[in-house]
Amino acid sequence: MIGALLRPVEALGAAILGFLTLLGGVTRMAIEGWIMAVAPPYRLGLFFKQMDFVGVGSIVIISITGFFTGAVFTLQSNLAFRNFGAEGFTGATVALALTRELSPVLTGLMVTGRAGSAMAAEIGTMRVTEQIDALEVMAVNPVQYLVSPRLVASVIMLPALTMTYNVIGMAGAWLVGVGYLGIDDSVFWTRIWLYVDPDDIIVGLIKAACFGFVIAAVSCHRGFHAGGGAEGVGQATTRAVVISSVSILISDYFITSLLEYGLLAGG
Amino acid sequence: MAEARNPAGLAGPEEDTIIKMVGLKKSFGPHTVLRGVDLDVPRGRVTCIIGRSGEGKSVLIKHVLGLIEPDAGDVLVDGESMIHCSQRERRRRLRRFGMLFQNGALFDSMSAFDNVAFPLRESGQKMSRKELAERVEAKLEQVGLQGVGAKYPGQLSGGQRKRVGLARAIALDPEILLYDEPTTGLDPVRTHAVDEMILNTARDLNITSVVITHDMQAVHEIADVVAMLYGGVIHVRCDAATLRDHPSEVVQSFLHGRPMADASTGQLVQD
Repeated sequence: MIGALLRPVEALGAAILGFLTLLGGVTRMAIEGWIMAVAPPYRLGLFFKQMDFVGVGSIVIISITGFFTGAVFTLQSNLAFRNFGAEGFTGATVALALTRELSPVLTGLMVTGRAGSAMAAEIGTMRVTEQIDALEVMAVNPVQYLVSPRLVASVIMLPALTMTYNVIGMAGAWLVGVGYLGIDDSVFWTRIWLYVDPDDIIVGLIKAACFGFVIAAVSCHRGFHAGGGAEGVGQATTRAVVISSVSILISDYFITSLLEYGLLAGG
Repeated sequence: MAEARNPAGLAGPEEDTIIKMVGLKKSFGPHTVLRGVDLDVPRGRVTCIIGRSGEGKSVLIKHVLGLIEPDAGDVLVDGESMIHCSQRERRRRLRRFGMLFQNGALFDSMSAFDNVAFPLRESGQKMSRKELAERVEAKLEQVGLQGVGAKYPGQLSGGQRKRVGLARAIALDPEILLYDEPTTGLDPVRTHAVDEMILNTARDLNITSVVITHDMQAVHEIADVVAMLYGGVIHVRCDAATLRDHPSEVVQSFLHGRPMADASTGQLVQD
C-alpha cells in the first residue's frame, strides 16, 4: 500500500535525477570541449570541415525557411494592421519579430534537425562501432577531436545563418508587402529604419550563438553516450533533436529575460 | 562467490611479466562481469584469453587500456597503473599499445591509407608526405594488403578490414598488441591467414600479444600462454599443450563444446 503511494514520488525523483545527470553530463562535456578547443594539437581542418557542414550546408534550407517566414508573417501582420489603417507598420513589425525572435529560434530549430541530428548519429555510430575507443587507444582525446570542432563551428555559424535568415526573411517580407499587398516602398523601409535598432539584431545574434552551443553540446553528448547498436544510435539521434529543440525554446525565454530586463526573474 | 579472487592467473617467478592485472572487479548495474581477475601477461609472448561469449573478455581487455574504469583492482604495465593516473599520463602510456578491434573499428570517413596514416599523423612525428606514404604502404604490405590504400572501409571485405585495422595498430611499432576476437566471422582460410599474421607480427617485431578468442584451433596454433575467464575470474592459466589435458571439468566442457554450469547460478547453460 505504502509502496504504491510512494511509486509516483520515486518516479518523480528518478526523472529529476535523470535530468540533473543529463545537465551535468552535457555541461561537463561542453566545458571540456571549449578548453580542448584552445589546447594543442590544433586541427584547423576539422574546424573548417564542421563550419562548412553546419554553416554552408544549411544555407539553402535557411534561405527557403527564412523567405517564407518573412512572407507569411507579412501577410498575417498586414491583416491585423489593416483593421487600424496602419499597414505601414507591417515592415517594421516583421523586421523586429525576425531579428529578435523568429530568425534565431527558427534557425536553431532547423540546424538542430539538419546538423544536430547528424552530429548525434555520426558520433553515436562511432561509439557503437568502437571508433571512439580506437581514438582513445591511439592516444587521441575524443572530446577534443570530435566535440570541440562541432562546438566552435556551431557557435560561429549559427549567428551567420541567423543573419542570412534576417536578410532573406526581409526580402520575402518586401516582396509580399510592397510587391503583392501594395505597401508604399518608402514607408516600408522608413518604418524599419525608425523602429529597428542595431541592438535588436545583436540580441538575436547573441541568442543564435547560445543556441549553437546548446545544439552542439546536447547532440555530441547524446552521440557519445549512444549504446546498443543501430537502435541505440536511432534513440540517441531522436533524443538529441528533442532535447536540443526544447532547450532552445526554454533557454530563449531566459536569455531574453537576461538581455532585456537584466534579471532572470524579468524584473 | 563473495571473495572470488583466484590466483590461477599469476605467473611463475621465472616469467618476465609486462602486464599485471590485480583483483579487477566490474559490475554493470546488477550484472557482475569481473569478480576479481588476477592475470600476469608475459613479455614478448602470445597470451590467449579464452572463455564463452558474454564472460567479459572484451571488458577485461578494455580495462587493460583504461577505457573502462574498474570498481576495484588495478592494471599495471611495467609497474605503471593504467587506471590510477591522469588522462594525460594514461594517453602517454597508451603509446606503447596497439589494438585490433573486433570489427576493425576503422574510421568510415577515411580511406584505408588515411586510417593507417592516422596514428602516424597524430603522433606528432615530423615526416614528409613521401615518408608518410612509404611507411603506410610498408605497413599495408606487412599485412598483405598493398594497393588498397585508396579504398574506403565500406569497400573492403571483413578480412581486409581486420588487416587494415592491424596495419593501423602496428603503425607506430607498439610494444604490446591487443586483439579482440580477430578471427570471428571469417572463413577458415582467412582465419588461418589472420592467425599466421598474429604469429608473424609477434615473432618478427618481438611484440607482446594478448588475443581474445574462443577459437581453440587458433589457440593451439598461436598461444604461448592460455588464460580461461570463467565466472568472472581467471579459472586456469597454462600453456596451450597443458590446456588440452587439463583436469578441470569446466575446461574440458569448454574444449569439447559441452554445456557448462553458469558460475553464478550453478545451472547448465549451452553457449
